[in-house]
Amino acid sequence: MTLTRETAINAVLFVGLLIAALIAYLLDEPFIITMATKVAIFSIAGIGLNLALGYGGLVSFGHAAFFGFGGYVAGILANHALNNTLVFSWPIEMAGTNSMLMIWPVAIFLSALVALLIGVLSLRTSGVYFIMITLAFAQMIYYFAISWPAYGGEDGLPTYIRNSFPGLNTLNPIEFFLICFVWLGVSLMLCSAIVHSRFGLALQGTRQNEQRVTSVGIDPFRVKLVAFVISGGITGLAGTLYTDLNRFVSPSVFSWQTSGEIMVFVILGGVARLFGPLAGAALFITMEFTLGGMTEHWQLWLGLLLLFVVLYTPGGLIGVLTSGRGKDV
Amino acid sequence: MSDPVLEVSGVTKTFGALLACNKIELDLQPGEIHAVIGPNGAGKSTLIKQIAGEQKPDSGTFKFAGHNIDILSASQRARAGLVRTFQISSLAGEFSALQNVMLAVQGASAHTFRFFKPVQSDMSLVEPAMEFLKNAGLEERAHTAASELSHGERRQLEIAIALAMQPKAFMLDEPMAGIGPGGSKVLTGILDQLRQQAPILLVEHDMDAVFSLADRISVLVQGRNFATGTVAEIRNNQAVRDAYLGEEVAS
Ligand SMILES: Nc1ncnc2c1ncn2[C@@H]1O[C@H](COP(=O)(O)OP(=O)(O)O)[C@@H](O)[C@H]1O
Ligand SMILES: [Mg+2]
Repeated sequence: MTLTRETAINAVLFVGLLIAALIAYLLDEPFIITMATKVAIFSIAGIGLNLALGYGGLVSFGHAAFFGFGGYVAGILANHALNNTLVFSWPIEMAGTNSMLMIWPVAIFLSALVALLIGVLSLRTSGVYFIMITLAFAQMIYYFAISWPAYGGEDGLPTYIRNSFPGLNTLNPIEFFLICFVWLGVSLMLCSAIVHSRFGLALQGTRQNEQRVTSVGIDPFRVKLVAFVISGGITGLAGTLYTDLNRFVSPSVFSWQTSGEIMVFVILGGVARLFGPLAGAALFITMEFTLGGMTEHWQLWLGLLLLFVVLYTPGGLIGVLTSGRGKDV
Repeated sequence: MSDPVLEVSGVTKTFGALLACNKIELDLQPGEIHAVIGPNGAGKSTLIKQIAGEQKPDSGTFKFAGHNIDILSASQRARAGLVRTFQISSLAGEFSALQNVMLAVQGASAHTFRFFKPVQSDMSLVEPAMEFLKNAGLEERAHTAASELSHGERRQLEIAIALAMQPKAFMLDEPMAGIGPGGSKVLTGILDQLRQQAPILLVEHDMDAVFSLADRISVLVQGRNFATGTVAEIRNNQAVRDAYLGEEVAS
């Protein structure tokens, strides 16, 4: 990989997030650390969506389904561990757990499974229909979560403490940040590997021209489905971390606003830019913090910015910073 | 005659009340260019789409390289060497010429679901792709985006892609459409080049091209295979002249 301007900007963003958190730690500003943690988590959610939306051209307006699923897996397993009850007893007995190392694989697997189901049912459509179907599935799960009393229904599900990781005190903000930051790095590496692999070539080919991909002997449906499943798994992991950050999960994680925000991270930062979701999430959180302190209507300004990005800078923030130069990919 | 590469038997396709293909019988022999002609709406494109696996016939079967391919999907048929080509709009425009050919090499190799090795340094893709580009005379343009290539270069790229698929048969639906008389001369040359590699089933309106290239011609009228024969036979077939060729041949 050559050291392009984009690579340099990516490095600055990534290391900058770490440094911001470390400085906040030294200055004893846990609130800033929490903000940095949020940036990391939202970035991971966006990296998941970017794989589908950016590289695959699959404009999903239902990624809240995966984010929420990951979130509820963490909440439900922790809740059962807390109350010392079984999650289910048939066909085998499944107890709750407080261990992140147990929760993560379950959450990733189940979110990916949900993505598989939704993908199979929606990926035959495209354009506006795909947007609407993915939205509809997420809304279905949202209303289900609201009306299902077992795990708090509308009131949500508190977990009281953070799930545990061997050797770390996860309740310490900087230690929990580091967990999320490592996951951010892993997600970026995974996404980069996928995008540059044979599968990535097929995925980006499918975005540009499905007929071409078919005529060279590759099934575009399978390519899109696999991308959607990986995408759902990554976004689900972010949801899990978000539950731990808040020590609480509620049906709002499934809401269309969540899907919209994940999409905003991707579009603000730069569609199909590897570090776009990181740039987008960082900008979003910064705006929420600065403008949000000044006016309740900060989202109006966010909306205007988004409009500007969509109309004038298709490369998003990363695109502006690299002054519209060619992509790395 | 030797064993045909492609055999179409009794293929019928309806759209509602419309009979688009009516018990079509047709074959493609090794080494030949078999042209399919007929008036607009005769069912030529529908036939090609069914052979390619994009549409399912109501009844009838397709045999390719000795095997029944009815249950194969469109991508599986392409991977088997039944290659559709020459839709100029059908390149991946953002990809470089090289990436376009690499995608074809990858498709033909059937190893797409690999997630970690970077393609850029995957010599089992890059080297053959480069070789096909070189043969198509596009070596210099390997790293240019397909959308920035000239019309002629894109056509050369299509050839490189088609050859990278290790074709056993080509199917072309109106390759001459909209490229003007100069272009059609060039394309005639290219088709002559492709036939060295594999036989061609050619749907075409341009009668000059058809008569100069084809070994055999089938005439489709209202979904029926009206007549199949050599160029001379079709030219002199009175019924065909009445039904379709009319003035075009007389002039
Ligand atoms: N998807 C479709 N749905 C309904 N009718 C169709 C469809 N595709 C083709 N047709 C009809 O089938 C007939 C044959 O079409 P086509 O195969 O495109 O003809 P050709 O390529 O010979 O001009 C035409 O009458 C056309 O309108
Ligand atoms: Mg046609």
